[in-house]
Amino acid sequence: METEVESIQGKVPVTILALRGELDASNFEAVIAKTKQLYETGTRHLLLDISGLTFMSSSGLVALHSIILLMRGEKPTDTETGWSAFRAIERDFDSGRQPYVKIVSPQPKVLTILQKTGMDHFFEIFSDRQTALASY
Amino acid sequence: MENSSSFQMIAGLEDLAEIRRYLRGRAAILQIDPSTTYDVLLAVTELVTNTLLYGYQEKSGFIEVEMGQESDSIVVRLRDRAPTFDLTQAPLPDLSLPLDERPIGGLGIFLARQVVNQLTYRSLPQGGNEVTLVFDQIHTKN
Amino acid sequence: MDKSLIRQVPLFSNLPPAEVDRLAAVLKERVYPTQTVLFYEGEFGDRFYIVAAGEVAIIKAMDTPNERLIGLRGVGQFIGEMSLLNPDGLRTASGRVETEARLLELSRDDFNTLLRREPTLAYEMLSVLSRRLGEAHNTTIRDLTEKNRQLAEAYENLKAAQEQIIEKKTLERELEQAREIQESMLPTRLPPLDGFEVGARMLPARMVGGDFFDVIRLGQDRLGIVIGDVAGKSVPAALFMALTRSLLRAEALPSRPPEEVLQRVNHHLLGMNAKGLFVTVLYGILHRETREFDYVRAGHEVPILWDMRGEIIPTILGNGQILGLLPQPVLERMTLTIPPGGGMLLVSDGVTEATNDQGDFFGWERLEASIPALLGKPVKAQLDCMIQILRDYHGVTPQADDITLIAVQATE
Repeated sequence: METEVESIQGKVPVTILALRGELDASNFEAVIAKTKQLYETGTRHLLLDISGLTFMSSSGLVALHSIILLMRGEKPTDTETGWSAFRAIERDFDSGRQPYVKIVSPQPKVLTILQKTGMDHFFEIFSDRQTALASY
Repeated sequence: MENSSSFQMIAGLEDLAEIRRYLRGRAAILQIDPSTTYDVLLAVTELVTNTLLYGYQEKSGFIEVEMGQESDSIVVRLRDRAPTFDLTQAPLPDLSLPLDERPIGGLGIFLARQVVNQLTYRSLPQGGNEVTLVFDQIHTKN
Repeated sequence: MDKSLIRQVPLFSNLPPAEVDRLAAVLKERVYPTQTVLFYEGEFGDRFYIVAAGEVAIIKAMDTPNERLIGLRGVGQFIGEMSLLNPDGLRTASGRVETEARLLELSRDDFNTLLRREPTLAYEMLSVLSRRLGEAHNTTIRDLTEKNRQLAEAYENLKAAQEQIIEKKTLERELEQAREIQESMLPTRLPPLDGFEVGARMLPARMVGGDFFDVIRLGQDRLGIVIGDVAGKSVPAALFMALTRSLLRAEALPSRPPEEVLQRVNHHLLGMNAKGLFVTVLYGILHRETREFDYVRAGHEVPILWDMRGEIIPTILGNGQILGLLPQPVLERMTLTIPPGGGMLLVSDGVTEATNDQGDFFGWERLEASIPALLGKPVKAQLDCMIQILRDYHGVTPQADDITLIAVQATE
């Protein structure tokens, strides 16, 4: 899987992190590490462009959860327990979608997974970059 | 099973991509629709990941993957030589459970169950586990 | 008490009748089952026995590794006299019933009284005892001498064996170290190339082998693939193999064309005067975009190529001479293209020349016939499959030569 970073200056600076390829247990930690790096160099608004992500397993959900925590300035929990992602959902349900990390252009099957696991309650999911960037 | 083909290998997490590549190739030969193909890739990825992380304690281990057709369904059989673990006994997710009570690899099994029509487990007489996954093809799925 | 029984005992055969009567009055008759221990060596002896029926074994050092049978006393013989005669009165051996015995027992006091009354009895006992002692003495000496000889022999053998073991262990340890070094030199993680999967496996025939392989990253779009085989076996071949592999990698990294790489390696090898060690090599560069594999085979086996259906695509035999022999070997560059979904296998001659118990080679036909079994599988599985096929083929015949396989699978 490859990652590509772009910076866009809109109302606020937004970093676009594009993921291409397949995301599973063998490489999800690299995405978390990349996000940590971006946060540490000043990124406060992140857009995940997953138009090129052809496959995502439950490890991707763990990565998404960790990314939210990172961008909120919190430490990600132990990445082995996939359920921490669910626990986060339960805990944060009332807080609704957060403004730090958004998703654009998921492929259809990936979108289904995000919906099935309730991740669409925490991430705004857009189908085109323009609208996504305008929302920050 | 008809049109079945299989392979065996000592696999690690880094081999998941190759295993999916193989399954995609077989799916193309069996002319399976893209949505069902993705479900196969997802279920197999989740279950093999589970076996590698928990069955083989994060080390590489023997995996056998068989894929074929039975009437209108796609059947995938996964075999390993890890200690007996019946994943059908893993409880369905209960969001009220505290974190330490969460089932092993529960999230992955949860997802796998979402995308298969049938999942059966059998412990192998020679040691190891076998999981059979059945995917109904798109025109019969809801 | 059967007086005739008393008379049957040779010791008492000449006793006057009155004495026999007296004896009959004091002797106690008892029956003991098999394996009863009558008395233990070292304990205080309080009686004397005469065997009326059965057998009693006299045993020295009973229940220890030095246990020895001194004698077996049968009907008419007496037992337990030694302690009655000894100053400290301790049993000099153990007595154990071998066959259910009927024994006539005489207490220590009655025994002493008997001897005082019948001195001739004492003399007779003495002569019996002398004889027994003599026998025992000789036996003991004989035993001791034999034991000593055995010990001396065992010691010599042990010393010799220990030396051998130490030598063998040292050699084994060194070989093991060499094997570990060799293994650590062979790449475990192969660099990737988009659109392809590459896997490799090497099984040495001995602890250390002469085969080698390498996969070299040459930028984003190209991969150098090497397979080689040093003629010769064991440690010298292994050393030469390590050398050749390093030289090749060094020459290949600047992305030189295959024929140039091998010419330069050959030049180095000749310059090192490597005493008649030769090496066959196949070196090629796989191009991501064109899917072409430009290669030179210096005396090495041709690649096997197949399409997505498993049909073998014939490869043209190019010319290439073994390295380490001639100053300017012929090294012809060839090109093959891996079709979408197709695969390629590079082998060493340990594969084609694997022998079964009839002495037949595995050969090219069997190799090509094995390809359908590999079709589309993850490369690791292809390698495992091929190795299993070879193992099944050579069966109990030991693997004669190193086996090396490199599998390349097009993923698109």
